[in-house]
Amino acid sequence: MSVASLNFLLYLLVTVVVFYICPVRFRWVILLISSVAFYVIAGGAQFLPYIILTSFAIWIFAYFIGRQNEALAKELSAEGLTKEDKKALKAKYKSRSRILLILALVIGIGILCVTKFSHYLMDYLVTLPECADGAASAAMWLIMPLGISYYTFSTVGYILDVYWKRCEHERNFLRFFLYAIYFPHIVQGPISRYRLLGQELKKELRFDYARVVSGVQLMIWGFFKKLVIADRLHIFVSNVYDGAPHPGSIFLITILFDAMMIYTDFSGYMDIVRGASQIFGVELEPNFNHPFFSKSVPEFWRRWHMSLGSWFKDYVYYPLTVSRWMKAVNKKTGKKPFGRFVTLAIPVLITWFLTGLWHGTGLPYICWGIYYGVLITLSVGFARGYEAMNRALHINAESFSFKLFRMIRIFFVFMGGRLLTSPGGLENTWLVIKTVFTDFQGWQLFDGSLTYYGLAAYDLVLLFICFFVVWAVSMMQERFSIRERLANQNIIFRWVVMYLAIFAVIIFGEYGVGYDPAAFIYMQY
Amino acid sequence: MDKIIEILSSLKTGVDFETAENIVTNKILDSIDIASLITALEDEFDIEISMEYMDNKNFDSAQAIWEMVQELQEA
Repeated sequence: MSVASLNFLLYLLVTVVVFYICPVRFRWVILLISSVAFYVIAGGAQFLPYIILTSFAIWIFAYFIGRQNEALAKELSAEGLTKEDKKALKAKYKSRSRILLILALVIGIGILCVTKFSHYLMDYLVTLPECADGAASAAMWLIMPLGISYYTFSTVGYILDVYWKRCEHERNFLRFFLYAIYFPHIVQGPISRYRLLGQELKKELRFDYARVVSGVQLMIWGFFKKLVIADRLHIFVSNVYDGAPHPGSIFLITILFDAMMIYTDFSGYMDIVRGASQIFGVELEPNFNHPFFSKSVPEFWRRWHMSLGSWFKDYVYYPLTVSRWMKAVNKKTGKKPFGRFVTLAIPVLITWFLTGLWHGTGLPYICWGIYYGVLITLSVGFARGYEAMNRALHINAESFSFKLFRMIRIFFVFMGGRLLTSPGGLENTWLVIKTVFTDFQGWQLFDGSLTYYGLAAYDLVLLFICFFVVWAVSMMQERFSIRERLANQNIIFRWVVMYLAIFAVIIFGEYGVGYDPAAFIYMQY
Repeated sequence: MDKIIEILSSLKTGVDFETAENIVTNKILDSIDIASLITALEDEFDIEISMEYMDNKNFDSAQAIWEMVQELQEA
């Protein structure tokens, strides 16, 4: 069941009605039951044991780590302890907690890795006559369960927070399980922090008309981006990349369409699920903040898929930075500029290599991770050099033209990243780049050839109007909250806007041949 | 405290770190600045900053950083 389907809307409607009929203190139980039911319907009952096992393992080990933290705090509060006594106590409790943490990580990350990477082994084993049958039946059980990357990262973040004493341990497993399986975020995130979502789900979830309307408005905007723009672009992009060689001009417009497709698809999904969650009174963390307005690549990754970037920053980049191993490297490389650059580059490159692996296991994803790792390292490492260059060339970094240049630059950087993974293999990536430079045939953009790839002229005109709408809305959102402004207008205006938005989605949504309501791109991760 | 202001100013120009608040929460310093800050603090004050201290609240102002440094020196 895709969140961009009528079935999901009906499911949501039934859940909302039952949720608000129930007394406040039982509402979280309704969310838990509806989340488990959603998981079974959308993912399949056979995958339920995976999420239960990961959640329970993380919860129970975090529980014991939390108890260790409490016991340590109690012992440290005793009077008459010397500095050495305190150090010894901390070391004793830390070694116990570390064992518990490692066991939890082996189970949580282990299940993720087995389901994510084992198909390589299975693909090999099925080619061996003596293993083929066993491997084929084992492969059926090693399909990635729905949302495994998201719930594993969310729960692993929780246990690390408990281990580092940044978060209290949860005593009630069912409360914790709701955090892991909560249906608006289980399929594609955001990768929520227990400190935030766990507390949101513990609030008294009361009906608030203004918040419910605001949530519905956000959902409509998400449906617009997904059904009117992303699904229309999907037809064009898949027809080009799946088909025979095309002229360079067609590839170039496809690279542009592909970048817009992933943005409207993923951010549209986020708006739908954040809006749905707001109807229950539960705020999910934002995952997008107008990334194409970024001034630099590091800023782009603070505005695009924010919950993933933030997770890697807190649980990979910082631990690497403060690790003894990194500090030893730091001492060896010294304080000279090159040494500083090396100590900057190593954790950034490792973090981005792993971010690439999170997105996919093939060579294109590894190259994608290295691509961003190198760009971020160069962007930060030479930041002062760029500033000096701007001063020498008398470039006003705050001028409109320079801001526009940076926005276009970010868009090209993003298109470059997509080019590594979208065409389906690095050999295809090379073919696309080579064709753009050697066989452009620019006139094909204007002679009607664009309509050979599944979209009529009407669709193409509509798409460019929609690009403008998305850009204009994003510009306004940078300055103020559109939904708050709308809430201050009179009732007739508000409803006219709501009906126009709903009819725009119904009339212009792409539901024709080739429409697959389950095809949200980030679902595969 | 002066030394902390000096380190912060070397990381980011144009910010009055004596009065600035929420310097991490409001993204005045990004994650890479914080990595450089940690290295500088450890060298300057002969302390070891572990993951337990890697929380925004310990880096959100010069005063918060100074309090963290003092706590680590006493530990």
